[in-house]
Amino acid sequence: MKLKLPVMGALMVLSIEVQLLCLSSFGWSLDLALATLIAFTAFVNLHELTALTLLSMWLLNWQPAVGPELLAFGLIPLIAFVARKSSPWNIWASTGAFILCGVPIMYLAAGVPLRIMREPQFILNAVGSAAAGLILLWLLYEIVGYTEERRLFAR
Amino acid sequence: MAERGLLGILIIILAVLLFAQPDLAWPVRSIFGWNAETTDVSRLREENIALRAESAVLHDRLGRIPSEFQSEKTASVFVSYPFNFKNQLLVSAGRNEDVREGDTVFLPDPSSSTKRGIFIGRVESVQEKTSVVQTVFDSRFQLGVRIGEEGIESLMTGGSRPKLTLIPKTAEIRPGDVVIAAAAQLPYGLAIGEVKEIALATGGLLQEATVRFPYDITQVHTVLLAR
Repeated sequence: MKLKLPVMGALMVLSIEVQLLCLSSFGWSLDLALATLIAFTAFVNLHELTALTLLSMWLLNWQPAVGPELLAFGLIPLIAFVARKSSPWNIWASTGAFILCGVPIMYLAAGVPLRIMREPQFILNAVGSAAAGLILLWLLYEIVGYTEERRLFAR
Repeated sequence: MAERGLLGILIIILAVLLFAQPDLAWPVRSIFGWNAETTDVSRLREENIALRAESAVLHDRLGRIPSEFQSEKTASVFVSYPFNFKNQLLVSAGRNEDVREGDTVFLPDPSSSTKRGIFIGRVESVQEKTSVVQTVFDSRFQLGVRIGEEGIESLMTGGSRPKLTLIPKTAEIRPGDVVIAAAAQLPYGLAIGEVKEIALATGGLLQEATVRFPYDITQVHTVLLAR
């Protein structure tokens, strides 16, 4: 699919917009941008993932220098991409697990206190983001038609 | 092969933009409607903020406006923090304008003689031309405060819904009571907001309350930094 990268770039921008609009409207949002990037790891190669990650980091950056949470935000999908290759789980389980682990890691890098991570709102955020990532994974499979590893339902 | 080459160029361009020109993304965010530039509606809203702050009688009730600050400067808000649990604003004044970490940040209030409106946070870090402000909506934010005319002590903890905690069960606080800063690092008596809802804390030995703020932090375009 030649339009794969533009479609994924547009989806990335859309997820960032929804995240920021939710934050400004409700003061809270699922971590859709991170969930989207992790879901993308099933469909893109390393170069495409790097480009999409840099695009989202550039759009999300809010400081003159790249902060630790943004570095974590960029590294987590890349680590997920590498880890997926040796993961014993199928794509559904590994995507959900990477998002569930990635969200607290990003906030730990951001310096968010540990007490916050025990609060229902944080748990809801991580679980909700994982659910959003899985929905996106299903949508992408419908659009792209295959995954990089061709084992959506295997293992 | 050509596709790979184009992708490589795209990666290099994005890396340069991210690390060398991050400020180019801030207008892009406003194009998409994030932190949109001031419109008539938002200007009216800002005026309304000042009027609501005034009508909350926060200034009058206090009568304890802090002593004069050494320096004051107005700054525009560029962008805000894009994730949960932290609430930061990037503002257009930095080391070049003599901004320092810990400076107090207010909403400007043109109708007030001091030009200072409600306290919204503190400067967390300073760069050459910009500063990062930690607002009261940041989950790491904590501040000693006093409530109402009786000056009941409490600890305000930040978050998407900041809370007044550690209020004695016997303390009589009411919705509408003014909340003022009472921390050593800030001038005494800065207006923060007013009590919204009161409830018993877990365990039933203390009270907690939510805070009503006379502004919407996502609609703040200009702030006043003072020391």
